[in-house]
Amino acid sequence: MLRTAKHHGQTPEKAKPWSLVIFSVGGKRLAVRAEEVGGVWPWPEAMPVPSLTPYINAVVRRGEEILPVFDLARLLMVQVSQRSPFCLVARRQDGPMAVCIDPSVPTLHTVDAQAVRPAPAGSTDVIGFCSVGAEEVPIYSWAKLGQTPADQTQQVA
Amino acid sequence: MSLRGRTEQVAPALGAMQVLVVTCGKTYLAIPGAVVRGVVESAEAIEARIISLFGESCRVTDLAARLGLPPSPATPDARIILCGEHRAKQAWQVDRAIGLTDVDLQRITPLPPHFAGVEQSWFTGLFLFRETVALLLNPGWLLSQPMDAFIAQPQIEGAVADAPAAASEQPVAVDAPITSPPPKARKKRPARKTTTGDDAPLDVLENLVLEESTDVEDGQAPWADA
Repeated sequence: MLRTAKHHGQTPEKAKPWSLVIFSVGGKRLAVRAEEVGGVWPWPEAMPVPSLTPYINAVVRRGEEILPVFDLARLLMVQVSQRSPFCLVARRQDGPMAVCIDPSVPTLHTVDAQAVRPAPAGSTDVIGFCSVGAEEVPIYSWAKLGQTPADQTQQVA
Repeated sequence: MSLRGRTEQVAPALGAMQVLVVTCGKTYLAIPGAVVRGVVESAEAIEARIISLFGESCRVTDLAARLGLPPSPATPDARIILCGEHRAKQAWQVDRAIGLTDVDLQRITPLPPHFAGVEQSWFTGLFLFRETVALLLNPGWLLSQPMDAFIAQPQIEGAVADAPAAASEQPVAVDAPITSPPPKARKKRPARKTTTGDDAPLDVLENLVLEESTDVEDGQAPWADA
């Protein structure tokens, strides 16, 4: 029978560190977990799609692939540089999405799980904060992006 | 005023759907060919925003506005797409008509589930088109828009009164709401392949039998962009 360390009264295994991809949108630095990023490419021209879904109002094409665009800049109320922006592919359970980000190459950081401070209750998009240098960077979760607290309550129910 | 209409059907290849691709701003939209009854390029009709279809006046609706897309500046490329099926009929103004093309049904994919709003009922899917993507409009939605909603749109009332009724035995004829020379005898044009203003060739409205038009020269594909 397999037993966990806890059952034997041993010290629990240290929580795995978080791998975070840090990038910027309209000059704002933010992070997402590395496993939620499917890649980064040059931004292809987006085609507007009539939509009443908040923040999702375009698609981009990359080869044979069509990705919906999540307008993160609009959510953050900033503007992405129009000059050669990048496309960050957001991995989500319902399929990948394209996010337009600033034309600076995202960087990979590893932070101790205990160093991640949880987001305040009621925060819909941000799951926590971490320190990168002297800066406190919010960690976003694509799964929660664009959801209202009511949406999240419905999902829990 | 161009007089155009469809009087015969050319079946698309098996497993394919014929669509009329149009643009509203940067958005490519595909209208199922089965509901397209004609394409009008009259500047007068576009300005009047009213047209006679099946002998009844029909207000022209800006498709971009109805879909909530930003308005585009008026250009000579603007067209009115006449749509109809059974008793339902609509006239939609678009920025440009690209042409007819057959789309393999297997290439049509549903709108991604991220689009979780009412837009799922506007489009039945999307497909790769040239270097971009085209959204396939739901014909049911296209034809079911309430006419009352059109009343608020600007119009020239006189255009209705002056509009001669279309002959009822010509189910797809489009006539002129504004005085225009009498149409010449119909001349059936052979189906042909032509090239639109863009790079890729398209089977441009092959299934339309065009009536002689007063503003289109022979040999010119009147529905396509020059």
